[in-house]
Amino acid sequence: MAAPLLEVDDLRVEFGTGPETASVLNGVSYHVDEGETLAVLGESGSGKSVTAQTVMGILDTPPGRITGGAVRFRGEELLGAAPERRRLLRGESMAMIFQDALSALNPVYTVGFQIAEQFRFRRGMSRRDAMARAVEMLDLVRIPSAAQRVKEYPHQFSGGMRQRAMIAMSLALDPELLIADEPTTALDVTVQAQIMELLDELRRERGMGLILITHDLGVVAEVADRIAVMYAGRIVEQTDAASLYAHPAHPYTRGLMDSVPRVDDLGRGAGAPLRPIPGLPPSLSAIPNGCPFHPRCAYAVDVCTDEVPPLREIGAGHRAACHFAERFAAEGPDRPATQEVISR
Amino acid sequence: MTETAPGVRPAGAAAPEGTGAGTEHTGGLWADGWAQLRRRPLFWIASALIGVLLLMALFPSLFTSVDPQAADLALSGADPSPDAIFGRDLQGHDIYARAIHGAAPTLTVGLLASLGTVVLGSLAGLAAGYVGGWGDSLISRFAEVFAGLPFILGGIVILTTFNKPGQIVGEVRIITQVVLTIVVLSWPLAMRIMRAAALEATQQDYVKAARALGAGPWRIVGRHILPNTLAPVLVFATIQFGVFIGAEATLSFLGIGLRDPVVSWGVMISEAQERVADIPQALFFPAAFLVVAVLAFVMLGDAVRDAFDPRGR
Repeated sequence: MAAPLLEVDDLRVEFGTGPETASVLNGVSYHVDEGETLAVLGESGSGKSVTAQTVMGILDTPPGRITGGAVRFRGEELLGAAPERRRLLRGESMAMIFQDALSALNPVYTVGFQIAEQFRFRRGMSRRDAMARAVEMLDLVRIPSAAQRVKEYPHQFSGGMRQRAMIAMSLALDPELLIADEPTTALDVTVQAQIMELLDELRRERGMGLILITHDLGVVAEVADRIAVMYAGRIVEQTDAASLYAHPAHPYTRGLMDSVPRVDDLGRGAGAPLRPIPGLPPSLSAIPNGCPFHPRCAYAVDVCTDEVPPLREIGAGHRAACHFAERFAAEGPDRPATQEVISR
Repeated sequence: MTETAPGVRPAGAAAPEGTGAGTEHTGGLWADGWAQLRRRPLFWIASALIGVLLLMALFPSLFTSVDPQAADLALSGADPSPDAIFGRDLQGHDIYARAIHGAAPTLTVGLLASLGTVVLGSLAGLAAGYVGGWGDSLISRFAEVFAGLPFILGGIVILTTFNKPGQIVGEVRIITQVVLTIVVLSWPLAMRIMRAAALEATQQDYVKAARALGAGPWRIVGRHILPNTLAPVLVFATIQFGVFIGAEATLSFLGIGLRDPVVSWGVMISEAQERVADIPQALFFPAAFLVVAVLAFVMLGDAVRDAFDPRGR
């Protein structure tokens, strides 16, 4: 089999030095194939964005420091590659869109100018031709009356339109891989759905790989082919979307699912409590021994505090980093999990 | 550095840039800025005043045929009259003729000092803010050495090193020396403003987004950081224009700046101070010219700032 479009292998990143060192990524591995959507799921600070920025080569170093691992694009190792080579790959082969499109678009240029910039600098097009292509790009992302909107400034766009413009800008040079870093977090729910739909359509039309970074299970449910769940700089579970929802094998994944409020909760009467995961993610400069999730895990036993559970295969394409993954997976998502699961 | 060159344009030469850049609405920063600028009355008033001042500086003979050096002690302190419409100063010079001829050195010092300060300070500030780390420390510490010198003391030290007190020096030489003295002592101010703005801009998502789309460092600095940092530096430059004319007057007053035979408004104001109660017109008219000139540049700076900052539209 040919090398995957993008392969992240045992990536390790630290921030800071000395006793203040925070291990932000502790061996992250995932891969994306052409035309595939990988959703990376996790709380704030779990390392989703840092992984993405390391892949793109736009991580700020310092304070960041890549201490190990590899990032391969079509088999080509990127971490050791010349900066100029990496710069040429950006935009051309891989692109990224950001959470807050308002701050990710330069306020002093019109939207069209910023899209056209790609064509002018990377394709050597004339101002006029590049502008015409910018209009086409805005059309592509379904912005109505693109020929007029192209002359407007980012602050004149609505939130959803801005995110569309950002997508148009990223896709200008036809990248094979698009990383979307929480593309819908700053948008309201109806617009979220539209943007997700747009991303999904564009991915299908262009056969590009899509990495969708999010903390919202609902957002990824419909579009993701595979899902990687991150916690404290590690992948704790990775599988196709269907089995993740049917057989979550890590208590953290399960906690994430339980904490999503559901409409049928209303049946239980007003004021049915939300079910958040107790506690807070660990400080990355003091990750607990053993399983990093054990202080928050309702099922933690002695072995969890002592041994770091490796990410291991528990089924076809289903990997999880929990000592009791098989038992959780067998349980299914809806049975109220109890201590019995692991004491059996 | 070709990409950064347009950055200094509006400070010095926005007025003559009328070659129809705004006719095509391409969405470029400068084209749109110019289109905005054209619609502002403030811009045209300021431009008209500056135009007259420039004319005065370039062709003083259009305004007066009187020799500014011609002195008639018999007429010392004469009141305004048809003969000399602004009156005469202590030495019997025609104040009107001197004020007209004073435009050139005054504006030259003000403009060159502003330009020099902004260019030097901005380049240093951009470099410090964008590179960060040890480069930032190096530039910042170096700037502090100059910022730490009191302006008057620094001016005295520098100018008396080059010219012995009372020495007669040529016009070009003394103007160059005064401009360089002001620039050397003032660039840290512009550098700090630019550094702060560049530091802020460098942290912005759009800079990261530009990197994510493969922009090289020159394009990031020139196209994304610089345009977002220009507004505060432009405002600084227009304010400093007036301050520098004042600084020139201060140095002239101390006898180490511009001096006879060079006539500047600063020189005239310094000379007038001795007998201000007897001959108020000798102070009033050059001061009025100075105020109008400073006001014109501040108005121009305001208009330019508003036009080039789309958030204010």
